[in-house]
Amino acid sequence: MADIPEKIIDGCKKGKGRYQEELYRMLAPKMYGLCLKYANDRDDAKDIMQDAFIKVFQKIEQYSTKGSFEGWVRRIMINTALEKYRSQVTIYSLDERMPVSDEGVNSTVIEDLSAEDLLNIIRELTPKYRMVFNLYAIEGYNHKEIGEMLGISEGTSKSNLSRARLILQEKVKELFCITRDAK
Amino acid sequence: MKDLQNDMDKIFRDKLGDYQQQAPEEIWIGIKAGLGKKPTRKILIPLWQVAAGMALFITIGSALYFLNRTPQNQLADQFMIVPHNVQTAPELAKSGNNEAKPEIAKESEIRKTRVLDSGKSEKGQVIASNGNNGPLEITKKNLQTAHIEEIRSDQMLKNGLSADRMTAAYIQSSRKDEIPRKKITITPNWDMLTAGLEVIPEDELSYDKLSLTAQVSPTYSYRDIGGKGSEKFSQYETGKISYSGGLQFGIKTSERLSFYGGVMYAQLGYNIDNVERFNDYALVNNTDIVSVPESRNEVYSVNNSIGTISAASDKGKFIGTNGFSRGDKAYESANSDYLSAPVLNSTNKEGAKIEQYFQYLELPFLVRYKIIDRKLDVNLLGGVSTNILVGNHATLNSGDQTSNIGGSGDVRNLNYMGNMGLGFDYSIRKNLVFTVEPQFKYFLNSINESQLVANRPYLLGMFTGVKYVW
Repeated sequence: MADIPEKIIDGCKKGKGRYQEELYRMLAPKMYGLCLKYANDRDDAKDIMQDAFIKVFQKIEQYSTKGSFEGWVRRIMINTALEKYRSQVTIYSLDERMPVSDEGVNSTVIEDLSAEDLLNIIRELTPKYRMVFNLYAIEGYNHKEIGEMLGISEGTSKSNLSRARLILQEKVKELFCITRDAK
Repeated sequence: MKDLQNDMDKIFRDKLGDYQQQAPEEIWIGIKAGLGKKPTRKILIPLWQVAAGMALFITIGSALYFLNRTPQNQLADQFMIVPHNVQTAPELAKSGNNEAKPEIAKESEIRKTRVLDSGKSEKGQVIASNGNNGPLEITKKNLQTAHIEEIRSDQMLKNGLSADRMTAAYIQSSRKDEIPRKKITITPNWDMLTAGLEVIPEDELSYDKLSLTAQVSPTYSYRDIGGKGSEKFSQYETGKISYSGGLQFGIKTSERLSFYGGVMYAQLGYNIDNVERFNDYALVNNTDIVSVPESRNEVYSVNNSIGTISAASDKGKFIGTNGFSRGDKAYESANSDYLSAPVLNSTNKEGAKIEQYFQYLELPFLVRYKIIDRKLDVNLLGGVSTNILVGNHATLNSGDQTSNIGGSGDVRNLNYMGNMGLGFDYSIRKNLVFTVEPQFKYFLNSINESQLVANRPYLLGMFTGVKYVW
């Protein structure tokens, strides 16, 4: 993870617009990709990224030089996404329809899918499953940490992850069938 | 099954872990717009203090206003007293008609006729009129209803219905901004006429509408700070005596209410005491410090409640602030290679003080409300002003030496300030008024851009000056 030059961080701490833009341009593609994983749609992702970057610039003085700057920004993006999720949580409080079949899907099938396909599949998950899956499978947090971040129990986190995987498998299968039929 | 799950997680992680996509330009536009709006900060003054301040302001103002409402003024507020069939002494003499000359009524007679026990008017007739409905003879009944009798008998008669009181009452009641009042038409006796009662022309009763005021004041300025770790700054920062002054243009919209705008200059600041100057510039090279710089022309900074004063030290000199542990980075070098606090050689150090000044061009918008209208007028004043930073410098005073060491960084150029105070106006000539105004001014925003410590200066001043009215 290539980190940001200290000169740019110092410039941002002084509120210099030129350095703020430079920092943004350096991190935008990665962070937008991150936001897309947590958002319901592209508009949602834009909102998350905008809010998160404003926080980054406003709180940049709190950044200590100990850790990776990009990691710090990434954490702010995720926290902003989670805040948004928490604000929407009542909207998605109903359980979604669970897949009936527990038949697994071959991992090679998943491997054949592009990153965009996988991203679209993830975005089809309801937020509570999407958040847990992203945090666990992609970001590498454990269930205890996820529970603290989302305000749920470890058990709920595990359960949500399990359901998320099942749904994802179903979605992969659906997509695979569509792709195969198209061929 | 578990392997499948792990494989699935891994595939997602591999393909999406560092997933990137070009971000739409509108996000950056939104961020810039968002950064333009400064983040809201916690209000430093608790709301209860604001409420208490406002309540105190209103209470004092109301008390002063009502205390000023003497019985005479109350009477004047309630009635318009005008002379009835007034003839001046020369006219009476010219007419030669003794019958036309009003009789001099004794007070007891006046009292008698005005108490109106009989319900009929006699000499020294007192008649009340109600608006444009013509004279209305005062009866016991309607006097009781309107509470006229008590006021009149207690005040007008007690004061002998002196002409000057009537004139004052007439003037007071002729104010344009007040609703029409009940009138009492009085047939005057000779005392009244000889006391010089005269009808003041309408145009002479109108107040002066415009004014230009020049003011200057010594001020005491300090700051209100809040935020994490802000308490430590109060250990060695103290307030500062400075000055302020300028011009204000005013316009009166009524006898009591006036609005002012203008240009003022205000210098404020504070002292940073307990500074030490190290002539010896001794940095000790130990394991905590990366290295001792070869060059001694380093730029160091002094941390204070506003931010950081950039201080270009002379060769072999070093400026620092006492009261910090090393972890606080009080001696933070501008050179990023030396983030650790240098260890100072305590020999050859001497005490010093930093004086931080800020100069502002102040554009006030003030409202003044006259609560006492006498020879010495008393006004309540309040308003807001826009303060533009025009100067920012700090000096280091050590022994007999004073050197300019720069100024605080990250200070806002545009600020807003609340003003409140009392105004005392004393008319020294027809168009010239001497003014004294104790004022309290408080910055509504933090003048520094630090997210950690919010610094809101305030100043107290006794603004003195002259006002030209026309």
